Amino acid sequence: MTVSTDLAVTFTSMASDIEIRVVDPARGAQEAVDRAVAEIDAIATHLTRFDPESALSKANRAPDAWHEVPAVLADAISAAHSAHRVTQGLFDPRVGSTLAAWGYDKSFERIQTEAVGTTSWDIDIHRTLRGAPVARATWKPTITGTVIHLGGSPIDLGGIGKGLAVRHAAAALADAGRSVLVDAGGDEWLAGPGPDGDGWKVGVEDPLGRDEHVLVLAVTDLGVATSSIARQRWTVRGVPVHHLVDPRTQTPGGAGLAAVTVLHPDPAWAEVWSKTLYLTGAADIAASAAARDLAAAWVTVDGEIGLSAAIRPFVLWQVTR
Amino acid sequence: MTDPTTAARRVAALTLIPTSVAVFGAGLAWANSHDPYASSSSKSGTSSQTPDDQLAAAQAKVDDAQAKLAKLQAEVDGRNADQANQSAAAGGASSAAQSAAGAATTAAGTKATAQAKAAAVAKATVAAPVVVAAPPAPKVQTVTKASTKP
Repeated sequence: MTVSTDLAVTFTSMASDIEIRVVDPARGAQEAVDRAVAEIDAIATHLTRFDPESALSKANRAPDAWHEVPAVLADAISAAHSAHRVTQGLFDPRVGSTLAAWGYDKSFERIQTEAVGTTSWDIDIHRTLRGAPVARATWKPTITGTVIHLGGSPIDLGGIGKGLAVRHAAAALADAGRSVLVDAGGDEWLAGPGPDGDGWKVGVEDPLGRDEHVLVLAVTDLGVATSSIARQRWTVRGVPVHHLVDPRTQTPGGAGLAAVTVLHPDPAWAEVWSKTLYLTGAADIAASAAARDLAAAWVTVDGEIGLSAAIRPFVLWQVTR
Repeated sequence: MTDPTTAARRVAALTLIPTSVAVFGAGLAWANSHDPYASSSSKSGTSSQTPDDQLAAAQAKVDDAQAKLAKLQAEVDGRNADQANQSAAAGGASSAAQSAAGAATTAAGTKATAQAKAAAVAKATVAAPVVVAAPPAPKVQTVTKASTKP
């Protein structure tokens, strides 16, 4: 008889079900798990834009002012700024204002249950949905220790915040056991050889709603992030929108794509690249992934599966249709 | 007694008989050489086969071709039987297909085996179309998916 010695914790944070699992835990594993939970809670507390008392909400209300903020928020703004520069502006946390204009200024569950589109907003939705390029200056926040200046625009750190939460949790769990999993729903960290000793087997969800996975990956010591419109879709005055906003047009981005999954040694960068590759759209994603040598897989709205060269070694199985 | 003149006439007549035969024979040979029905149909002049011989040769070639076809068909049937057996083992075929193909596989190696495989495949095909199933997805330990972000 095999007795499982895994240490597992599940809880809800950042509007997601969070799971931490340690295979063959070492001495002190429980304390490491506690630290990981605390790291995730700190991110959730200070980076949410749905709690008016969070540090981010306070900064967003006065984006032209200087703010003393918790270190975790200052670090997150710095990380978001790096992503903005490296992706040449395709990653832009300022799209939060567009999401807010579309009614996504509250947790997503409330959008689905409330009468979206009846509120009078500052932004003309129909104008912003036309898709014309929107001239916008490069985002230039200033971070000096824990004193920050947002550069004049409110920001949304939701996506990268979750990636950063997984990054911090992974660091806390570095010596917790033979293998470690941190799953924050869409953002994961998978360390060690996994329960079977030959890599963590990761199913890639079918964004079109079919039960069968589209891929199974074998992963060791990598972050995994998926950006998908499978769930966060709604309508604004009859116009379908989703949460992945293209900063170049201030419209729903990623034409022709349903989901993108990226593997990266840093879970925060896995999140950044999955989002920005998604925004490139079905026509350009293969070239974009190849140019960056990113390990990426994507599913089009027609159900076609694409793989970059860098992800092929990790593909254990692919669905046939 | 024989008259000497009569005897001379007899000697002359006897001498003419071989000559007449030779002339007649030559006439026959000439006629044969100019009778189309008396010559061979082969322009090459190398074949001396009768129509029956030619028919027999053609039949032998047909038999040989049929034997080769039967051998190839047996090989194809054998491969199909193996494939059916694998599909059945993977759970993708009916039990009838599995048992039939399995029985055929057991007898591999002889002509009789090939025929048995062909029969087994035929039975399996009737019982349930043979579909080569894709390998099932490996069991996963986690799923990467869309999420609701804060």
